[in-house]
Amino acid sequence: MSELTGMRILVVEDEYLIADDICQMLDQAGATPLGPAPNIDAALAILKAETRVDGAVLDVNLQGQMAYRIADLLDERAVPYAFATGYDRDILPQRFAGRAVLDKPVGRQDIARVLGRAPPPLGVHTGSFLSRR
Amino acid sequence: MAPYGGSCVSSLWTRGHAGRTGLGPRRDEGEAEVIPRLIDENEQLRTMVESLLEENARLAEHRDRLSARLTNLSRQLQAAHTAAVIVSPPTPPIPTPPMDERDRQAEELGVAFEELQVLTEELEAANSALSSANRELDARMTERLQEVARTKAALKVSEASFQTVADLVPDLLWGADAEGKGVWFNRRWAEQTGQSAKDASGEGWLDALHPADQPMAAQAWSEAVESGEAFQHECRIRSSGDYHWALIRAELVRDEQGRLVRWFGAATDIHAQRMAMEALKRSELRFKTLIEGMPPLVWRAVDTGAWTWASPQWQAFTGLSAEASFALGWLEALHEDDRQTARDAWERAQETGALEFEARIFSVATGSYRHFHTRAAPVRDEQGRIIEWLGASSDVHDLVELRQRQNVLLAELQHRTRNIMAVVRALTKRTVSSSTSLEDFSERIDERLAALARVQGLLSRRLEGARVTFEALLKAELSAHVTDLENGSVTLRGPSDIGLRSATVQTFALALHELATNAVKYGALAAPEGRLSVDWLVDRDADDQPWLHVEWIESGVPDMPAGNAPARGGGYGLELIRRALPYQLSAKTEFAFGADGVRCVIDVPLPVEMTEIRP
Repeated sequence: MSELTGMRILVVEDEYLIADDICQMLDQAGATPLGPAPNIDAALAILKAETRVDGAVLDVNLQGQMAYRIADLLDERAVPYAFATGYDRDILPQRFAGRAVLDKPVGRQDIARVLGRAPPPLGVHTGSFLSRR
Repeated sequence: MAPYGGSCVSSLWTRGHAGRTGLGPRRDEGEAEVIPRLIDENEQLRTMVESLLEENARLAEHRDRLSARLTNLSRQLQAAHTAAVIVSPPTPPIPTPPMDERDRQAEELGVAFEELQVLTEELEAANSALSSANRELDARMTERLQEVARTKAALKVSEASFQTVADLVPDLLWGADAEGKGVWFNRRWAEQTGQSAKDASGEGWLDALHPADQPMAAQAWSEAVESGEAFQHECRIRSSGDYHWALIRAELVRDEQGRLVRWFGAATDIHAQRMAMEALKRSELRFKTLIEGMPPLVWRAVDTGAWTWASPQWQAFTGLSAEASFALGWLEALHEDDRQTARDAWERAQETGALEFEARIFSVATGSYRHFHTRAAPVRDEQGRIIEWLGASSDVHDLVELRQRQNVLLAELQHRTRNIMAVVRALTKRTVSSSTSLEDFSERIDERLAALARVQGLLSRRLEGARVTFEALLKAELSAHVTDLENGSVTLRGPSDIGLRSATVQTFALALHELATNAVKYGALAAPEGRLSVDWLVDRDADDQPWLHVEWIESGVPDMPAGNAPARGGGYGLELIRRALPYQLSAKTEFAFGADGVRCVIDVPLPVEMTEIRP
């Protein structure tokens, strides 16, 4: 099971309620949400300001603007990200063919699955493994 | 003249059938030919015999004259001799004419005698020639008579076989005299037309023609007879109760002197061909009418799309002439990016036997391209090989645009549905976290979902092209809470036509919903003396950006909480106004609890197009 714990994840979503929801999910998963950013400019500003970004959840359509410039920048910086959209994935340009796409509404497990890191070796966390049982 | 000439009566028939031979033995002479020749020859012989007879008569007369003269001389000589004997006995000298007179008479007699002898020989020769000539005449006459007899016999056979053939052929045959009057008709004429040879003779044959065709046929025939030129005419001839189209041809036969002797005619049944031709013509006319009347652009092509014909519509639509469209010229009318598509489709069509592709075609009238759907089917010969292609290009531009718009709408609908699910989930989670009980949650979530549903209703109209106005949004929310907006407790003032950006409508509606809910539960609309006034107007900032300025002011509310008390109702409304509107709408908001009610000011940027207020 991948984990989001300790990750700094950028949230780009123009709909306040959804952005707030995703931020809360990340918070609950032990991650630090960056943003949320309702538009491209706000997102680029955050990326410029933040030295460490471990992942991003990108709404595709930001009030008519497509989030591709943000995705390109994330690719440049080798930051993993996932598109979160209500559209079919085939609206995405060809260069994003291999990228993760999450259908809205996005759940915590969805984000963890595509952005999360593999948990540390079992030995280190024996206690928690046992406690889960 | 040769005994067996090539020109004879039977050639009348053979000439009538151009190229047809064997109608009667050609070597046999006809009566009409033999008799004049024989008469001619006999005339020559008779003239010869007559001159011989004349010569004979002349010689005979000459001989008779000579003979008479000889007799006369002989008698004179006799008399003279007798007189001499009587005058003188044998010794005494007889008183005879003097010696020289007697000598002269004897000499004359001798000459006459010789002359008579010559004459007699001449006469004998003449007689001999005469009898020879007579014999020759007899022999020739006999020979010619035999010849005539043979010819007559041969002619009989010839006539009979011609008659047989004439009755056997499927054509109607007839003969007419030099004046064009029918004189002979074969049996088929009677069989087909029901008209006897007698009825058909003269001008009677015209009755066997279709009444509508008679005047023209009669005129054409009389013109031919007058000019003596070959006759050719198409008309309908009676055929077992019906009329059949026939091709009539007639040619004339002239005699040795070039005089028009006889017409020979034949009528060939061309009904089936004529009907087929007329059916074809009608079919072609229908095809042409259909092709030129239908909206698709129709064309014909061979091989891999080499056009051979282009309909008038194609030429009118594209401005390309038929000639310019031939071969691959039509590609010029296609959008540059679609030409390869068309070529590829033609390549495929060779294997699949069907052509189909979509391409944009230039409209010369509008100067723009329109989407066309092109299809073509092959025309094959009996062996199944493709002879040509018949194609049609139909204007599907509106359909394509509609389809594109439909796809956009469908994608938008899906996007919106999924988005609304995400909003509902967020709303639910927030409501759960702020609810004190399940009943409390149930009531609040119901209200919020109802507000969300109302705004969806307003937004769906946006798809039809109209923006959601602030007034509509406000009234929709207030109406859900206040039964009578006109009872004086609520005052709404502002322009009715302020269109909002679609992306902002939902959150704006939820914020207004929270304001209204709170007013109904705790504020101006809960208190008997409470008043709510909402005023709005459009303002412009230094950058000429239009802003909607809204003031929500409640008054007459007793028992207002202290400024630092937690918001009643969980504070979700407050959060939406203070955080959501600025976040999502780039709005500037103020919210305060006044002494006798809530005071809220919201400034929202409007779409730039709203600089022009729509009616």
